[in-house]
Amino acid sequence: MNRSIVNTIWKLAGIALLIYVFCMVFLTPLGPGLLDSDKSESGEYIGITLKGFNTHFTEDRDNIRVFIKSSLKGKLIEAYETDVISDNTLDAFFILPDTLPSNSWTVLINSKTDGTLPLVNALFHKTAHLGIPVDYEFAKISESDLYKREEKFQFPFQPNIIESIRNLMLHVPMWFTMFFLMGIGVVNSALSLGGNEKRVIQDDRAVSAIRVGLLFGVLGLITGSLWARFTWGAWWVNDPQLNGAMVTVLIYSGYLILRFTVTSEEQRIKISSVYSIFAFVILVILLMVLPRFNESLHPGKGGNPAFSKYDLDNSLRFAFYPAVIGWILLGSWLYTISLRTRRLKAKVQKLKEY
Amino acid sequence: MMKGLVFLIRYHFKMELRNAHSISSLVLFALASVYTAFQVIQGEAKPETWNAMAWLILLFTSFNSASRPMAEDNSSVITYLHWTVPPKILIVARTLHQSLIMTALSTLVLFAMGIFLGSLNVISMLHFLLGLVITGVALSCILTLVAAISARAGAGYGLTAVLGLPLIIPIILISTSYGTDIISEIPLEETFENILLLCAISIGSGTLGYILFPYLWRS
Repeated sequence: MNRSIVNTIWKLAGIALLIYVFCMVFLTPLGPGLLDSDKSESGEYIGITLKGFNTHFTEDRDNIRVFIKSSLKGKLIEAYETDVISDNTLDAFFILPDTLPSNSWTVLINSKTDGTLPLVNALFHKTAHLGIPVDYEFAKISESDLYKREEKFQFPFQPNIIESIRNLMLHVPMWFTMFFLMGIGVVNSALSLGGNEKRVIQDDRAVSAIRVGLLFGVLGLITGSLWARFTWGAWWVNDPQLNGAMVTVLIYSGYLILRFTVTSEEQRIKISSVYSIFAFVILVILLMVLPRFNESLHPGKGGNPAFSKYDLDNSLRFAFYPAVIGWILLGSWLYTISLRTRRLKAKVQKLKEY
Repeated sequence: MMKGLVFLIRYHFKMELRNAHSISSLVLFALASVYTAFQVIQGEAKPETWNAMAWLILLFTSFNSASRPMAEDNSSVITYLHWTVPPKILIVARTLHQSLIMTALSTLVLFAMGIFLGSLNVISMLHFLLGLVITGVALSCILTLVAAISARAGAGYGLTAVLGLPLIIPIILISTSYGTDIISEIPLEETFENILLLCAISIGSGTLGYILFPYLWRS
């Protein structure tokens, strides 16, 4: 097939994928979930007010059921009474036996429209009675008997992350694209050290790839910083994963500065290639080693679940994988443009010298 | 090869003695930093501050030490060395020389810190010294190549710092966590993996420098 047709096709494919991804990111609704709980006690009743997000409590007012589930035993205790206030607010009252051991309970709300919504550690109950726990009446129902929600095309609700889960399609692919481009950069740097006559082209490839990669790295830092502000409450935290990202961006900025300081082309190719390889290998060692020695808040590190668990959710999978491919294609396109401008500038420079 | 290596290290030290102002300015820098830290803190430092100060002073001392102009940066000496010494031996000699200097300097820094900023008990001090020395070696392994790169680029201290600092941050993080462990009197065995890690980083970056330096040297 004609080469220019192939080139046009992959670029168009990248743009099409990204348009699709942006539509998905901003148009797909977020599934229902529970945000918050508030406990109040009056006499033998223990009441909790539950606040939901995107929930539809009023639609199914009569069939709504509230349970608490012990994190230890997994058995359910049903609420004595539930009182739906609005779509997003609901009061539930429990009568808990004295002999119930102290526990931090997970609250479950079950309804036809929303399925089962959990809120972990929503209710902490301290027993008044310090005796040996006696068997008490559990609801004769297990979790599998509850209403299942019909499958809808929605992003899954995650506590703390909430609507910002859309950022998954913007933040994570940035780093994938950056590593893809940095990989191109390092391979070309290594090739240009081989001393063959194509080394000028290889060096041009390396520097173009690293420049575009750096752009994606900075975008990754920005999107990550926004996400950190929303979920962790700070623009930047001291975290091995974040340190690694920052160090990567600094190293490659250093690479570009190094190139500016050397004037002779032969020297520049050699010196910057040596630095690029040295930095990349050390970077890989450090990025693999560092997170093992400090706790990390970041998903996928230090025992935190990565998004692979949520990736299994179909709606996210339909947006995330195209996003990765789309951003990588866009990155490659930017790289080819950057490379072409670079080569043209060099040509102009050469013509001027004659 | 061994003979050449020993000769080169001895040559470096000989040059060090001939240009005594270079090494003495390093010593002075280290001592003055400790004394400045003492002035800033106003007396005995809290253990955490002490720890942070120790690593920062070591960091800046090693930057200073690595980015000093070497005797062989003189162009006639470079030409001579080109014909007589294989570059791989030269980088090993430089790294070893740098490591030895850093060992001496870190001992000095620790001693000065003990005097001005208050000291730990003897055993902890020795453990801390172990950490300082190994960090010094790890820093030397990375900074020797980075300094060679910036010398080749014809730029000075500034470029070494720009290129070197990002590579150094993780090492300082490991060292600081080791220092914190030592200060909070955690037994050495439990924090020894930090030391092993620093050794591994030194070996890795040293090998990488050994492989890459010849490309830099040839011209």
